Amino acid sequence: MKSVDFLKTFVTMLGQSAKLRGIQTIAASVVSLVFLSQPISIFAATTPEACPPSFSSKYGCTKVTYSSSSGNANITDRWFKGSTGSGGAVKWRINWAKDWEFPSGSAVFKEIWGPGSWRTDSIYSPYFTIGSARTRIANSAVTFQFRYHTNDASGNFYWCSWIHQHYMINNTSNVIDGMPCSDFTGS
Amino acid sequence: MKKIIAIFICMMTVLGVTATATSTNRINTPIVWPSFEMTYRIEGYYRGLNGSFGTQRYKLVYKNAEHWTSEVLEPAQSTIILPGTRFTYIKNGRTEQTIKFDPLTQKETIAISYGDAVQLSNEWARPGYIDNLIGRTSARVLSTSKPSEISLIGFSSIPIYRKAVFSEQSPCDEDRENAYIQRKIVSLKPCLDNRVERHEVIFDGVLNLMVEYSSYVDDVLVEHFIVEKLALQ
Repeated sequence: MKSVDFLKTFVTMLGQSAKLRGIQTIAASVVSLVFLSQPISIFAATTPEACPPSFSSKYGCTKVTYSSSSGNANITDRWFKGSTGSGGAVKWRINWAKDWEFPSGSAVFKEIWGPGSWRTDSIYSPYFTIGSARTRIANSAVTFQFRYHTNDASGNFYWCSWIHQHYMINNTSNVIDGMPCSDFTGS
Repeated sequence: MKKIIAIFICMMTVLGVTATATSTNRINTPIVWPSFEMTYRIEGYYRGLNGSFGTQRYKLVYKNAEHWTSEVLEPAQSTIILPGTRFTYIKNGRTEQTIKFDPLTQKETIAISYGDAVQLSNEWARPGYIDNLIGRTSARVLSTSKPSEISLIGFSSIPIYRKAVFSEQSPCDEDRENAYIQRKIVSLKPCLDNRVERHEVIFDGVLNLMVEYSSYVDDVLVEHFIVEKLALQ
C-alpha cells in the first residue's frame, strides 16, 4: 500500500471510529504535553541599536533580536544597515557577523557569517539580516564589522567600521574604535 | 570686425568664469602624500559613557599608502580598547599584513590577507578624500586662516588653508532619531519635518589633507575633529 493511500485510510478510520477518536484525543494531549515540556521563553528582546559615529554620522547600525530561556540565548536575527557617505565610500557591505560565548569569562568564538553583498545605498539602507538562528549560552555576544570601498585617481582603497558588539546577558551594546579591517575576505 | 571682437570677448569671459569656478572647487589632488606623523583628537557624541559626549586621541604615522601605523592614545570612554593599542599595516604586492600590538600583553598578532585594494587607517586618509567632499553639489569652498590648535613641524612655508562647507537635508527618520537619542544629544529639538546636517572641513590646500572637521545637526555640534600636531618627515 502506498503511503498516501495508507494515510487516507487512517484518516477515514479516525473519522468513523469513536474508539479511534478517543485515541486521537489522547494523541493530541500527548503532543500538547510535549510542547509544554519545552523550555518556556522568558522574554524576547532586541539589543540597543549600535550606530557608531563617523564623519557623516551615518555609516552603519546593527542590533540583535533574541529570546532567553532555560539559561540560553536563542538568537533569532542579526540585523544591519549601512550607507555610503559624504566624501566616503562608493559601496559598502557587512564584512562579517560573529557569535561568541563566554563560558568562563573569556570569549570563545563560535561562528562567523559574511561577507554580505556590496551595496550602494547613499543614506541608511533598510535593515538586512545575516546568519541563522542559533541557541547560545546566556552569556554570549554577537559582533559586526562593516567594510567600505572607494577608488579615485590616487588609488583603490578600503576601510572598515568600528566593531559593533551586542551582549545578550545584559541586553547591552558597545563599540570598539580604532580597529582596521580584520578577517579579510578579499577586496 | 566688431562682431568678431565681441564673440572673442564673450568666449574669453566664459573661459575665465569656468577657470575661476574650477580653481575654486577643484584642486589638483596629489597622487601620493609625503610621509607624515599626525596627532589628532575627536570630540563628539558616542565617545563618552553610554553615548554621551567624549574625546578620543590618536597618532597616525603615515609612511605611504601601503605602510602606516595607527595608535590609540586616548580611547573613547564608550569602547574597551586600551591606550597604546597599535595597528600597523604593510602591503607588499597583493599581500597585506596587519599587526596589532596589545599593550596589556605586550605582544603582537599578525593577520595576513590578499587583495588589490589598499587599506586605509581612516576614510579620510587618502589624497582624494577632499576632492570627493568639495565635489558635492552643495559644497562651497572658502579661504580660511590656519586653525589655532595645529602645531606644524617640517613645513618650509605656512600651508594655504581652505574651508569646505556643505549641508544635507533629510526627512525625519525613526532609526536616526533613535540613534540621536542614544547619543544623548540633549540639546537637539524633536524632528518636525527635516534634519539638516552641516559639515565644515578645513584642509591643507596643497596636500589636500583634512586638519579640522565640524559636523552639526540642526546647528548642534555633534562631532569635531582637530589635528593637534602635523609633522612632515
